[in-house]
Amino acid sequence: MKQHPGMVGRLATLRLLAQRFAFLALVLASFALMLLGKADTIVVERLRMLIDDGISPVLQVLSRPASAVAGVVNAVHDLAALRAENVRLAEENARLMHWQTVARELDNENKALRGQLNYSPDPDSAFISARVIGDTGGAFVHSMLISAGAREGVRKGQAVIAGENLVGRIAEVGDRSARILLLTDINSHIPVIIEGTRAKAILSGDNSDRPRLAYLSPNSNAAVGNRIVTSGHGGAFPPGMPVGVIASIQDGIVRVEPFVHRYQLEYVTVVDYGLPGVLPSDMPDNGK
Amino acid sequence: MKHGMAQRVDHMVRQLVPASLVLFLVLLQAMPWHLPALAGIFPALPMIGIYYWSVYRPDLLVPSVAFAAGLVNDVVLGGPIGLSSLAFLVIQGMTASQTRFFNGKSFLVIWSGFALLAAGALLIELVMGSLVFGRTPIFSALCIQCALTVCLYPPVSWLFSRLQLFWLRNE
Repeated sequence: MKQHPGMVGRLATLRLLAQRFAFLALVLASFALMLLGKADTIVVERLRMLIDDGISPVLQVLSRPASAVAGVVNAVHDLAALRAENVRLAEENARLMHWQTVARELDNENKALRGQLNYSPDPDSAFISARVIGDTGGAFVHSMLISAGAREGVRKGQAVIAGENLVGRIAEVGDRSARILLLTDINSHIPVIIEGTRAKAILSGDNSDRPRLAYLSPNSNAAVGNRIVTSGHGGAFPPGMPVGVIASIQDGIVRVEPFVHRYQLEYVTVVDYGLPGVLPSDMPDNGK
Repeated sequence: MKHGMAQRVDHMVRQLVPASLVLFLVLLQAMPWHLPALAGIFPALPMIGIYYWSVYRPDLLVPSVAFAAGLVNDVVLGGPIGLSSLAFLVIQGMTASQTRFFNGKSFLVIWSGFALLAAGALLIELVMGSLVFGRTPIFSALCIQCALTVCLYPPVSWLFSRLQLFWLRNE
């Protein structure tokens, strides 16, 4: 197989040209992708979840040693604070025992009143637990990857909790992984109420650690230390899930300190409340 | 013939080392570290990989590798797609065009070069991210991210230089 010398020369010129233009073409492709992503087409979301699904097994393996290291660090930390922690827990236990008694009484009273009123109870929630396999500390997005997806029954818009506390909602679902949009993300807007006063508001993230309360009526008497819980409006989240406490009120801006800190999350629970979420794009998925 | 084939495969695998290491940094960055200090701010590790291999093996870290690494990075971080691709391409392009300058320079010069390029790339991300997506990240967080990234350059580049000696010596 002998190649024609002229052809080799032409091939070399072509290769040089291709190399020169490859850089420019790829820069243009980056811009094109950004614009395509801004249009928020289904293609981009599919591509995202395809890659996420592909790397989720790798991340799952990698996340184990990381959590082991974190466990050792925590253990050393805990040992140092053991005595103080013990005193605090004993106090807290005494307080909680009192609350337990109150809760029992209220529960009985509630049951009796519901019986008298023929009250239709809230739908039961189903739970899916999953491991956090990716915590992406980007400056633009506050999100996490978890190891459960459509296969396990995770759907877009479902609430995600850790313990009893709200973490965020499901934003993207792949086959075996899903992405949580955290409360603190700029795209997160959650209907909440102030527990004491029952004043309604929307908890809006702004990529800082403390999301703020929007659309809060001026005469709502919000005070630092008030607990914030989900209101259940919009149907996506069960009502009464703890979210955080009011941390500061400055110039009319009320900021909330969430109960959950992202670095603590190792496992989370996805709550299937049984109602279609507030996201219209959910509807075709639910029909499947 | 068989020997030649094995050699070719060996050669090809070795050529993939820089790209694989950059990909590994992308995944490392996305792992849950459970560290309170790093919550929300994490050094842009892949930039270190892109810069290091663009300086020392520009023949292996070509624009398409930088682009692909950026794409995976954006997807894994959940950020706007194309943003990291652009930032990585800028680092790769600027470095590759200055190969002669970097040749034989001391570590301090190369580190300073990285500090400049990393700051520039993060600034591009900030400007493009705000312009195209209207998402303005907190500026101070971005500054801390930049400082962390620059501080991590020496250990990561030392590790890479060991790996380069080990895997790419005979190339």
